This record gives sequence, structure tokens and C-alpha cells, in this order.
Amino acid sequence: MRLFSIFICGLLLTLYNCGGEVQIGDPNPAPQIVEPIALVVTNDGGFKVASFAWIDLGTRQPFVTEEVLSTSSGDILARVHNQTVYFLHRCDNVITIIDFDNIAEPTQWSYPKTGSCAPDLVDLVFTSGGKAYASYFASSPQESLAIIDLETGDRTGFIDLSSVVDPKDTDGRPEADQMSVVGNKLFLTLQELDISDLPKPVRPGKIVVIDTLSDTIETVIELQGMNPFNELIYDSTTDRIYVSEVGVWGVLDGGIEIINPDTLESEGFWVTEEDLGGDLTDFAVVSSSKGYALIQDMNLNTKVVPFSDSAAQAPILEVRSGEGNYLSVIELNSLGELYVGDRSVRHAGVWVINTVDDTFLTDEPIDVGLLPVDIVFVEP
Amino acid sequence: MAADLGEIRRDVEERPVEKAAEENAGFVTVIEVEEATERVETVPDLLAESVGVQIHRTSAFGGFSTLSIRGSASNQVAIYLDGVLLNPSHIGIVNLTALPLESLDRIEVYRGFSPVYLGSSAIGGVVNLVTREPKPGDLSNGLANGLANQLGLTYGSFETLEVNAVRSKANLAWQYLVGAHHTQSQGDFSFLDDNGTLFTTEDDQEVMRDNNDFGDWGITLKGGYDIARERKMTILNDTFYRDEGVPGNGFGGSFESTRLRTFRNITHLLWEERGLGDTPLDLKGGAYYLFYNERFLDREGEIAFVPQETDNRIQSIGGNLLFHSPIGEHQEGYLFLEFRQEAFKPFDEFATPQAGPESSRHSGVVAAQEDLYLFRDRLTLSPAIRYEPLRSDFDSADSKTEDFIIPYIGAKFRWIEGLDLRGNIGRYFRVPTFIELFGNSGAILGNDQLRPEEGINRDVGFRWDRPWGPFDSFAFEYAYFENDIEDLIAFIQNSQQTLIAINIGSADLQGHELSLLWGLWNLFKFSLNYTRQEAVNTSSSFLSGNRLPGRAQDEFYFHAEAKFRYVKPFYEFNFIGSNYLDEGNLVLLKRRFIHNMGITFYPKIRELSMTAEVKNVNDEQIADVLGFPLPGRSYYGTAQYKF
Repeated sequence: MRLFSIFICGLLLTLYNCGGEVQIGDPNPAPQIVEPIALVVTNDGGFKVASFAWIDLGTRQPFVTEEVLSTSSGDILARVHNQTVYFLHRCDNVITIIDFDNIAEPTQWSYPKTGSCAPDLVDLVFTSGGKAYASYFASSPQESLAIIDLETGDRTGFIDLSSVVDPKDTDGRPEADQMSVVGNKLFLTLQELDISDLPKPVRPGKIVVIDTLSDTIETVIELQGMNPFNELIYDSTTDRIYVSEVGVWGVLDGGIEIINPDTLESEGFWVTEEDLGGDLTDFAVVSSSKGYALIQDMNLNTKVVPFSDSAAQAPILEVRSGEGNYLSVIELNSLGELYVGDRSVRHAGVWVINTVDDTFLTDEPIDVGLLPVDIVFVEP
Repeated sequence: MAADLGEIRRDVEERPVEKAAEENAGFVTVIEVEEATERVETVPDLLAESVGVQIHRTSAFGGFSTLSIRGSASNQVAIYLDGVLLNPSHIGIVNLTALPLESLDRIEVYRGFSPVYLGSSAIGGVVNLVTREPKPGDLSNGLANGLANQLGLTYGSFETLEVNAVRSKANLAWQYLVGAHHTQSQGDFSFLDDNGTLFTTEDDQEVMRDNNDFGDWGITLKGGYDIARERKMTILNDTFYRDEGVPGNGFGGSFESTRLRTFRNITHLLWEERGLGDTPLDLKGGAYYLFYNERFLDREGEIAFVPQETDNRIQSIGGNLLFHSPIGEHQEGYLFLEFRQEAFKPFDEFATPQAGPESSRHSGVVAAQEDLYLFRDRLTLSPAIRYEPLRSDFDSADSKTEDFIIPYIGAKFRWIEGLDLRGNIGRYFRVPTFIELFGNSGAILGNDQLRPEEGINRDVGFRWDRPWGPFDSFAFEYAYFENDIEDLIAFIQNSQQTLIAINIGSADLQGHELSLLWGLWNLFKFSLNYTRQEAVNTSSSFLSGNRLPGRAQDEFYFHAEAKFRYVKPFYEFNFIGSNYLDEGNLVLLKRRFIHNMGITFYPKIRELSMTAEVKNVNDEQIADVLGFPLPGRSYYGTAQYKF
């Protein structure tokens, strides 16, 4: 009995004194980055925890950091400005900043939340004057577009979008989404959805044009297509803005529309979903006549489809949706390489495609640890 | 007359059709409930004390809780109330706090092998909640007419209030029990909110848990009638209603107005008969009706931007027959037949159309078990086999029919008096839920090609149960378990806007369970249990080799009490080892050390007890295995009066 009591006491004391702190994984020590890289935001399949990895553009060797960006929501996007990466925690309304000259000490800015995933921070763009704009999908018109001081992270104000909300809009929200800065103009897409009964577009989308010097609305461009979702890309070579519009999911009514940033007018569709054979979920611009589209066909299979002018070619990469296969993102780097995020559960990673001849530069997807969500390129 | 009453009641109750739980070949924990009602306890609190069981909580006392047995998922554990399956077919999980404690006699936890008469198989094990039988002297001070009453009142931290009352009477050939309870709590404890920022503490702040209140009401009615010497009829009706806030995980802000309201009613009619037609054949049959209504209110669109107000209804009817007979001197046989029909009717106020497509499931069980007693009854072999056909229908358009054959066998060898060696092996299934098979007509797509999860479960160990040395009671049990599960089902995003359930992989669960109970001088009681488990993802995916999230590798529980004439101090310690929050094994939740203590007074007023207790004495700021914040130190007082 005595020995047994001693054993129990010893066990208890040992356990009590061996308490530990919270461990957020055990991040791998990051090497100094000297080459251009592709930074890949990753998360687990349940969108609960997010991390990131990067791929050396020269060697295509990955480095998986195991750094945890969030433990509450893995829905995170990335943006780059001056060799600094800004991670947008969509649901947490947090921005994490990692300067690649000082990776070990990230900075974080947090802002008030208004719901589980609201106000839903969806984009961040930068001006040359130390200012950034943040757009929110699920916010009131008065607070859908914030101005951020890049030195402090403070939101110094909002640009009121009430005047551009359609009077017929049932939910009263503009559903602000993607942005692009061209010169002294900010271009912001409004999805124009009725989210009271599953998000669906009810009228053509809009682009709000804002003067970044005075932070006032200049004009509104009425788009020909509905639901400008996912990308607003300015290509300096063609001096055009390209807008991806998915329309109604499951209906081939969207496409890539071209906007002239000088005339502030739509020049119509470059290529349509009907040309491409599926819902448009992402795209990349190679030149004024060539691009790549990431589409989701009517069976939810996802494909990378090259197109020239309005003519789509055969897909160069396709995954079947059964068994959780899904391509999430495509991005084009300055070397003319197309990076494709593959969230297929059994072969997740990043594919690299040479856009000169549409050949694969990797035999299999580059392993980035978890499932890829977003890709950006950083050039120190 | 009194002697005749006793004889009638003894025939029906002292020779039940089913075996006592501990007599089965499997590893089972039986939790006696009566003394637990002297303190502030819930069903998950009692289950947490059982070896091999881990409770997943989203909140403080009374919050939504599910359980895992031997590393299983919550929807792999079958929960029964007097043999009526509570797991709803649309999601497969049961909120343990929506179960009545004051009306229970005991809780049986089958960790592996479960007897054939507990309906369908379950990969993760079975929990059977058994309601009280009104008996002469139940809750009583020995009154000859068998009348007993119990009143209980608890008040404590976070404005927690619980009142319960039980009345039980056994008279002539009939008995009844009425139990009622109400529990409420604000659940407004403080915790550290990191605002979703892991790299800075500048925005961290102590906040109060908001919208974490709940209130529930329950009433249990049970009546029995001894029709004849060997024949008894029992009717049970259990009604439960709960209204609770849904705060979310709280980090960066809580949901302020989202609510969940649940209502459940079970009506169960039972018939028991011994010696059918002057044969040794015993029969126990029952029929039940279960109605379950779940209303989820999120009018502000806090969770998914879109306002939701769902009003889902589930109706289940079923019946079963259990035949039992000795076969010669060294065998007993059981034959179990069951039929069950369940219908799920979704409704969403804000959807078009509001009434969603209905799902239904028809299932049956034909099961047989034989207990062979060999070598002078020292060895018991219990081979069993189940055949389970079922058909799932969706909106009268889609249908899936399948059947399963489930063999298993248990063995128990009495080495010496008080020492049993046990071992079991069997094959088990978990059928996909409605939402996994048919989706939700929204972002979740259906997948009628889903295969059921399948497991091979095996365990081996021993149990010693015999006073020993200075210990007036002594029980020691050890078990090693190993479960291989294939075709695990998980929801995976398969497009920009949809999820789908797929058979993603496999898992290996193995571990050791150790439990020890001993009593000293009829004064001190101690219990201790330790579970060490490894739950590993073995699928061919990016998660291969990772530990399953939410499964702590180590869990230790210790309880000590000393019952003097007028006072009973007690102490509990619970250690829950670290566990990963995520499938990717990047976030490790810290180990938790929880100390509870208290004292019960028995003043010289008949059967009055008064308990004061402190939970989480060292005020640990802890989170549950899912990452939800749990309260720090809390105080409760309970008074209970039996008369």
C-alpha cells in the first residue's frame, strides 16, 4: 500500500510538473531567400489551419515552412508589395506581413469581425504613396472599401460605396471583390449578388473607378457579364484590365471581359465560358492574344485550358472531381511559367507549365506540405 | 402479500433476459449514476471518467458535447437509451448533454464487443443509458410501500441553476417513476481572445464568452406492470427540450444571436416474458417511436452570410424482439430481430423551396449470439453474427440498398476466482449519414457511391475483481486494443463552391487501457484510469502518417473520496495530453491538468446531502480538444433530499 501510494504521488507530481505551453507546430528554420520564389499559401482540407511554403523558381525546390498562419480559419490569400508578402486572413479579418529580409518576425494587424466570416477581407492593393486599399465582400456599402496606412496598419478611413449600390439590390451590399491600381486610379469590382438565397448574380457586375489621390469615386463601369469573381488583372504590356466573370455557377454565361483603363469602357469579352467549356474560376494573361483559363466543367472537373483570342484549345491539365480532386489556382510568373495549384487529396502540390509550348516542367506536383490555396511570386 | 410482491418482482428483475454488462466477454465500464446526482454532474462528465473515453466539449457545463471511444470519431459510437438508438441518420452524432441524468440507473460503455441485443454494430463502441427501475426501497428509507422521492437543487458559477425531482413507487404489481429536471446557465466565463493573431499579443484581451447560455427541460415517465408471475410490461416516455446559444469558437468575436433549439421525445413500450409456453425460452420485445426536432436560427447570417432558419424533423419507429434460452447445461443462445424506419424532413425558412427533399432509411437486424461454457464453465466463448440490410432513399428519386454481415467473437477465461482473461475480435461498419450520401441541396453535394466505413476491432486483456489484502474492494483491468478502419469518410472541397463526402482513407487506432478501483476499510474509495492511444491516418493522401486531430495521446483520471458518517470529501484529477487540432499536425493544443475537489455533508436530517465543489481548482485557462475555450475555476453547491 505504501509503495503504491508513493507511486501514485510520484506519478501525479511528475505529470503536474511536466505541463507544457501551446505549440504551434515546430516551424522549420527558414533559409535566407536570394532567388525569386513562388510563395504558396496552403491549408488543411478542412480550411482550419493555414501555412505556407515556397518554391525556388530556378531549381523548383520547395521549402515547407510549417509556420502556422492561423488556427481558426485556413482561408487565406497572399499579396506582394516591395518584397513583402501580405497574407489576408479572410474570415479572421487579419493581415499578416512577412518581410523576406526578416522572416522570423511577422507582423499582424487585426480588425473587427462582424460574423463567422464577415466582413470577409478579399483583396489588398497598394499605391506608391504608402497606402493600401482593402476590400470586403460581406460588409455594408459604407465599410466595403477601407484605406490602410502601410506604416501602422491602421484603417484611416473608408470610401463610401452607397452611391453605387443598385436601388434594387435586395441585400443592400455591393459585394466588393477584386481590385487593381493603374496609375492614380483604383479599379474595384462589385459582384452584384443576391446572397439571401445562395449567392447568385442578379444583374451585370460593375467596376468602380476611384481616384487614389482624393479617394473619391470617379465613375462606374457597367460590365457586360455577371459576377466578376476571382481576378482583376492589369497587364502593362497590353495596357488593358482583364476581369473574370463566372456569371451563374453551372451556366456558361461568363468569360474574361476587357476594360480599357484610359477610356474607362468595356471592350467586350476576350473569351467566353462557352468557348472554354466551363465555369471560369481563374485565368492568366500571356499576351494580347494568349491566355490560360482555369475552368470547372459541368461535372465539376477542373481543367487548365489555353486559349488564343477566342479559341480555346484542348486542356493541358485536368483532374476529375471525384475523390476530392480539384485545381485551385493558376498564376503566371515573369519567366513565362504557369504555376497551378492542385488540391487533389492524393496528389496535392503545384504543377509548373512552360507557356511557350505548354509542356510540363515537373513530372508530378511539387509537394508544398498541405493543400495549395494561393500562389504569388516574390522577387527580392 | 408482501412476500408475494417480493417474489413477483424478483422473478422479473433478478433474472433479466439480457446478461449483466460485466458478464459479457468484452471490456465494459458500468457507471452507477445514483451518487453522481449528489454533485453537479452531467452525462459527459461521468463518461469522461471512464477509461478509453474522450469527451469533446464546445463549452462549459452543459455545452454541446460528443465522445470518442478508443480514438474513434463521434459518429462511430452508437448511443442508446434503454435500447433505443439515439444517433440520428442525418448527421450521426448525439449531443451528450441532451440526455437525462437524474432518471438513469447506470451508463454502460462497451469499448469494442457489444452484446447482440444492442441493435446495430458500431465501429467505435456503444454507450447504453439505462433508466432506473422503480423497486421496493428505491431511493427509499425502507418504506414498505416502496415510495421514494428525490429533490435536487444546484447553483453555481456563470448563473448555473439545476433543479430536479424524481418520484418512484412500487406497489402490488405495478411501479412507476417520474423524473423531471431543468438546467440553465449563462456560460459567461472569461477567456483570453487572441483575435486570430498568433504573432502578436498586443490585440489580445480578456473577454466574456457571449451567447453561450442554455436552458433545458426534461421529463421522464416510466411505468411497469407485472401482468403475471413471469410477464411484465413497461412503458417509458422521455421528453427533452433545449434552447442554447451558438457562440462559435469565440476568437475574434462570438456569434451574438445564433441559436439552436432541440426537442426530442421517445416513447418506448417493452414486454418481457420468462418461460414462453413452459419452455426455457425468454422473450423481450419492444416498440418505440422517436421524434426529434432541431431548429437552427441564424437570421443575421452570422455563420454563412446568408440568413438561415432551419427546422429539421426526424421521426423514427422501430421494434425488436430478443429471444434467449439456455441450450443444455453449457450453452445459452440469443436471437435478436429488429426493424427500424427513420425519416428526415429538412425545412429552411429562407430557402426556395422551403421544404427540402426528404430522406429515409429502412433498416433491419437479424443477429444471433451463442455463449458456450467450457472447461467447467471457466471458458466462455461468445461467437455472434449480425445481418443488417438497409435501404436509404432520397426524395423518392435516389435509393441505395446494401447489406452487411458482421461476425465477431469474444472469449472470457476465468483463470482463478476473480481473474478473467478476455479477448475479442470483430468486424464493424458505419453506414454513411444522409448528408454524406445525399448532400444538403446546397454547398454539400451527395455521393451515393460512398462505401460504409469498415473496421476490424480487436482487444485482449484481463480483469481482476476481488477483494485483496486490506482492500475491501479491488478491481484492476488492462486491455490492449487495435482497430483498423478502412474507407473513412470525410468532407472534401471538390470545386470552388462545393464539398463532397468521399472515402478518403484509413486509420490505425491502437492503445492501452488501464483502470483500477479499490476501497479501503469501507471508508476510502479510489479510482484511477489511464489510456494511451495512437490514432494515425494511414490513407494514401497528403495526411498519411499524421495523428488524427482531437485525439489526445494520453489521458489520466484519478478520483479519491472518504465517506465518514457526516461528511465525504472528494478529489479528482484529470490529465489530458496534448492533441493536434488539425489534420496537418501543425497545431498542438497544450496538455491540460484539471483538479476538482469538494465535500459533501450529510446532516442528521434523514437523507439530506449538501455538496460544495470547485471545478478546475488551479484555474487553468484551457481549450477543449477542438480548440473551444473552456472556463477556469468555477464553484457549485448542490443540495439533495431523498424521502
